[in-house]
Amino acid sequence: MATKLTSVLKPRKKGMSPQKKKKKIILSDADQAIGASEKRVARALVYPSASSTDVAEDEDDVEEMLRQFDLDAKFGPCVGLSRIERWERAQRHGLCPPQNIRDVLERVGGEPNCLWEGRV
Amino acid sequence: DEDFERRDQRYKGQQYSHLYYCRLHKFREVLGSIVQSSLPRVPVSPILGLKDGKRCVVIGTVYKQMKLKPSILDEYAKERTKPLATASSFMHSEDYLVLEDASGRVKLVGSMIVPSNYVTGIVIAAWGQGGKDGDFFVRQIIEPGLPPQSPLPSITGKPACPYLKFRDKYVALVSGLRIGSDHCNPLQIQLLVDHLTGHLGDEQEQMLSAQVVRLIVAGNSLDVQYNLLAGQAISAKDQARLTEPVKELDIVLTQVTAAMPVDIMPGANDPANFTLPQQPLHKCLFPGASAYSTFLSATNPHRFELDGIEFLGTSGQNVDDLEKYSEAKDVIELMERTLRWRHIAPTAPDTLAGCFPYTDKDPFVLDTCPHVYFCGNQKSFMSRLVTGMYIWKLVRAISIPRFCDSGTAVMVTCSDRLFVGFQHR
Repeated sequence: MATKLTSVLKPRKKGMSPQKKKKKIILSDADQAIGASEKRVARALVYPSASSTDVAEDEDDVEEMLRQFDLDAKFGPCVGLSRIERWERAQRHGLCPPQNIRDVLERVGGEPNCLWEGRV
Repeated sequence: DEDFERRDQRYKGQQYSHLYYCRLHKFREVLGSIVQSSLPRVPVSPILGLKDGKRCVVIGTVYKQMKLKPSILDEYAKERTKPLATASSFMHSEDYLVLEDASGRVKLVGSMIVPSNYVTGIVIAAWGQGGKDGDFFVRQIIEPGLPPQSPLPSITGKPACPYLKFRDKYVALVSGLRIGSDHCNPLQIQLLVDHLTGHLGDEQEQMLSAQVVRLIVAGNSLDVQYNLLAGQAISAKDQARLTEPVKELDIVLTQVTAAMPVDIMPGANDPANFTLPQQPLHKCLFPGASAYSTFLSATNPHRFELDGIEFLGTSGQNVDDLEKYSEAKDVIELMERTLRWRHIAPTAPDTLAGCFPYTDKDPFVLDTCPHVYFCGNQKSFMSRLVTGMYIWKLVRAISIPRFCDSGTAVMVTCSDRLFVGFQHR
């Protein structure tokens, strides 16, 4: 059977409150009794982001763009390499990775490693 | 050899996924162009885009699901239902192939597929159609084929010495000396050295020896007694026993290095690193031989060029692993398959224990085809001319026997027909 490789982390959309996230969580009755704030904390632990939840939206945008680059299957696996190394490898292989990612990593100073670095 | 040297690469905890990605990426371009030229109207489809009955080509890495393949998880299985496998072969009639690309994986079915001829890790293109159960019914398998080969230089010019009947140069290949082991016969090794350096025989024999221009020692030259390295402090007597074989090998090599260039490759039992590509044996092991500029400690696999003829060879680990996981009538057929798959060690991270997890390239991919392809430490001497699809791509494939068992070294001439002779001692 052809199986689909799904991405673990669906990117967070701007302006969405935590309750409206698209991840399906099958909750048992006991879980539903847990309050909303505790759920938010639990979600924050499951999806730790590079920046804290109440930082400026600019950093969120940058991180969002870098995560899209991480998850792009065309450039290969993202774990085990720093983002710049992965960009350079993509360029060496002739895949024309977007130049703005490189600029962001060098000048604006986005997170150098992908989300799962050191965790997998 | 530069491709096989580790140099600045460091292990930072990365996994093998990068190696497989680089391999697939490289072959996708190659196979894409082959498919376009041979099957122009058939589209190349990602595995996830397969539809029932639609004929297309899929390109991906093969994974062979083997029933008898040893797995670490078997130790935890409650019932030991796995049938016993022999140490030399893990083949089973129920093995099947799965093709995997960047989007997904699909099982390959059909009578065209003979799983025993393939191994995990090769990249192929399969022409066929998606079946109803989600399998892929294969009509034809397209392999990359022999890589491009530079043309053989033709022999021109007058012979250096007018008395020389044959103008050819010979390269001597030997492997499996196993100095320090019980079956090693020092007399045989000394005979080989004397022959190569021209100390044996009458004038005619000496002329022949004079034509040998290079010696390649293809692995397993030493037999280190690992039971002495039990983790405790080694006594002086044991220390001497450990270093004796190395000193003996150094003496042997010094004699030959004084006469001709010598390349020594590490093998499975040599004191070099375990993971492929094996790095050169350190010069400090050969204080006598490394004083000469003709001495070269080479990597395994080893690639070099002599008079325009390209040589490429390994110490045998790649072919031994292929023998365990696939079926072929002889070693040369396995070597031929690696050439057609354009990959020296396709089982490398999977079952061929130890492959360095490169992140930016796969060094075992063959970009150019060698003219002479050798493989050391095999059971017997065998040699064949392998041809590609077009008759002008010729490779001389040689399997070098273990010297400690057979007492045989191989000599290859560097002429148009690449005729091979062998010396039996």
